[in-house]
Amino acid sequence: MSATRTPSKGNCHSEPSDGVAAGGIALVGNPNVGKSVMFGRLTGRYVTVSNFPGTTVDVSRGNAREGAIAGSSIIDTPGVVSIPARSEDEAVTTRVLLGEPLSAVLQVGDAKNLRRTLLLTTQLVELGLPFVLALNMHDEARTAGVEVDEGRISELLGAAVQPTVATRGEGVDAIPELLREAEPATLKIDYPDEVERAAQACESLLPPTGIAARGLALLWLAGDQSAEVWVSEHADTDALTHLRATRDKLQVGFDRPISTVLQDARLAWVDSVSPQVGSPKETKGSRLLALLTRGTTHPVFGLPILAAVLYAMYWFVGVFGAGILVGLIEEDLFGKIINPWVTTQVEALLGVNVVSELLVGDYGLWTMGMTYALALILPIVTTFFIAFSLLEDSGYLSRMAVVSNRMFKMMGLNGKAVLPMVLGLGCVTMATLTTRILDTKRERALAILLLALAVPCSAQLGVILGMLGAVSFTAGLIWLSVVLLVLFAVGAIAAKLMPGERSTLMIEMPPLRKPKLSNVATKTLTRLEWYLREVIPLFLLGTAILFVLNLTGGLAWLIEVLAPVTTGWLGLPAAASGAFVLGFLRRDFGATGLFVMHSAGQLNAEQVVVAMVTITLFIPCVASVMMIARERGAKIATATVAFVFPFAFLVGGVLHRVLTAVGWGA
Amino acid sequence: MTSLAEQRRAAAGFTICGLCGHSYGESAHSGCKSCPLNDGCLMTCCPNCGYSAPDPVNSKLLAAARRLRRLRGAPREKATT
Repeated sequence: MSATRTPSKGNCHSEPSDGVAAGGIALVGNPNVGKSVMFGRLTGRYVTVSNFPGTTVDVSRGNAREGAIAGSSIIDTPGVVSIPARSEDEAVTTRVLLGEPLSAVLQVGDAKNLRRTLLLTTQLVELGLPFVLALNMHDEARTAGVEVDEGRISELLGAAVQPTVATRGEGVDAIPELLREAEPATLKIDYPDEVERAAQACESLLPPTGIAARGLALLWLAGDQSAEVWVSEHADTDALTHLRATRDKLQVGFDRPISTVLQDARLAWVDSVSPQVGSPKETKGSRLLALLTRGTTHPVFGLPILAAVLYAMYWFVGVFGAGILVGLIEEDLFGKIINPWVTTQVEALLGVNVVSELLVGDYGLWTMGMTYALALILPIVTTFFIAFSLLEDSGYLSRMAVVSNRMFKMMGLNGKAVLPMVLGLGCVTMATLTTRILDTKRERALAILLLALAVPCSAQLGVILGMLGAVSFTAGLIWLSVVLLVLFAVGAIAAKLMPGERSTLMIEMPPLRKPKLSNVATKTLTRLEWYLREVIPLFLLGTAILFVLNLTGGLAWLIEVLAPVTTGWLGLPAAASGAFVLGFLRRDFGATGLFVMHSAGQLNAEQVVVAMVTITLFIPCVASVMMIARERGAKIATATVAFVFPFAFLVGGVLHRVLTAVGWGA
Repeated sequence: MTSLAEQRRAAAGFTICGLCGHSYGESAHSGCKSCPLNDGCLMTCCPNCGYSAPDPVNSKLLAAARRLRRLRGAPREKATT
């Protein structure tokens, strides 16, 4: 592999380098792009790994073993998604760039994720250090059909670009020579005039550092925490006051954070050059895919496509999974063959007593807990996971997020707050953690509230939607409309409470592609295993609780106590209280109880929809509540639960009155 | 310290994120350490966007399905979920 090097035209905004031997070389890149493998290739086996001072983050250091930079210190920095840093790991990378004496930066980029690589490149070249870009994973890019034009990238950056496959050592031998000859890149992103003026004003006030004054000024203006600490430690009081005033004055002129303004300008540059530097090989199929790609995110055509996808999912999960498959497995296989046989065997072995009741009675661990899990939930989640894996593998899931984001935007909701909700489809607990990316305490509290309130994880969503689909298409539609309405209403109210804090939804969209059968099968199997391992213990625990309550008379008491709410307010039969008790453990367990009641003719369509809406808005899973307490403290966790619980019943009761008034589903 | 061989292995079997399409070798989400379910967690997180999905490496069901395929003589296939 040969390097592409465009002769440097000099750099007007950076200090000249002192040569490679004078300082270390920082290996920087997005997470999982092969930095550590590259580090291993350049340094050999003898490296030291230690915590970066004042942190728990590991940083590896070693000396280049051969070639033009033999003996030079090389630092393997933690993967960075963006600057300003959003985590301790990322902050360490910024601190290395700011505080270490560096002679060059080697960015290791992923050749098949070019847009993301170049976005980080635009930030790194601003630091004004001698720069080389190693476009790694070239083999995977080729396999993925991406043709990278290193020559054009080099021209645009004004820096050397080297294609590599670090795992095989391809192209790595050229890196030392390129680093020895490296100079600062010549690329300069044009920011809005106000930003440029503020950056120039800051440059004259900032203390001298190893990086370009413009780079430090932009980090300062973006509010990077490492830059904040560094400048506070090195600038005199007067300069610091002026620097803060300049940044505050600049922020007043924008309705979004300065970091977002800077990132938008960089992103615009990356998007403008992306078609020139790396594109998938064009074929007849790829042209059709390109058309589809545009259509799926189109402001007008995107919505009917989304509706068609959701309808197909309803048919596959609701009609086929929850209707036909559940009918065969639950009614025919379990209802007529397995459960009667198990009951006979258990009673023959143990006799009819409390123990056999616990196993095969009305609230038996087998006849209720395992039957719910295997005969009702399993067919529904299997079909849902197949459908969901198809959405993921085709690349459509991120497009759904973009189309939904438009709707959220119309309601005035912050784009950043939408991301945790999209991530909630994967796992609400993890999504709660990602609310850290939000800028203010208020935003974080709002996103957590919305997650706890109306975002069930994909598995729970699949079960609830599938069961409603089996009732009727309209039932599913009403449920979806009410849940979205609640989400939008709470989002809109909150957006009004915190005006002037808009940010865009930053999400990368993979190309649309034909789903691969083996990928869909792998995803479905791993999800099924994860789901069953998580829910079966909870289902058994819930069944045991109901059994004990029933045995001690607690269930009858609970039904009587909850009657004003369940029968009076929600218009449900008193027995539905049992399902709500199950819902405390998991929404989908409660939903299954309601589905069984509907199948037995105890709930009509209106009552099922009301009960399912209430269960959906109910308390989130136990792990999510634990995560809220851990992330935001017991106070916020208690406040969230205290709001969500009565609110769920309030919405359910209002929906019952509306549906009764229009005469639907009775 | 992770050996070069381990690093290569990690880089060899990559996962494609279901949300953003990012390819990654192993979960690298910095927030995982804070999760109350971290010890027994079966999920893997995309280091780019944070989207989580069950980790195929730890799936016994998947391993059993693969063994079954091999017994039937199907060729081995690298997972790229």
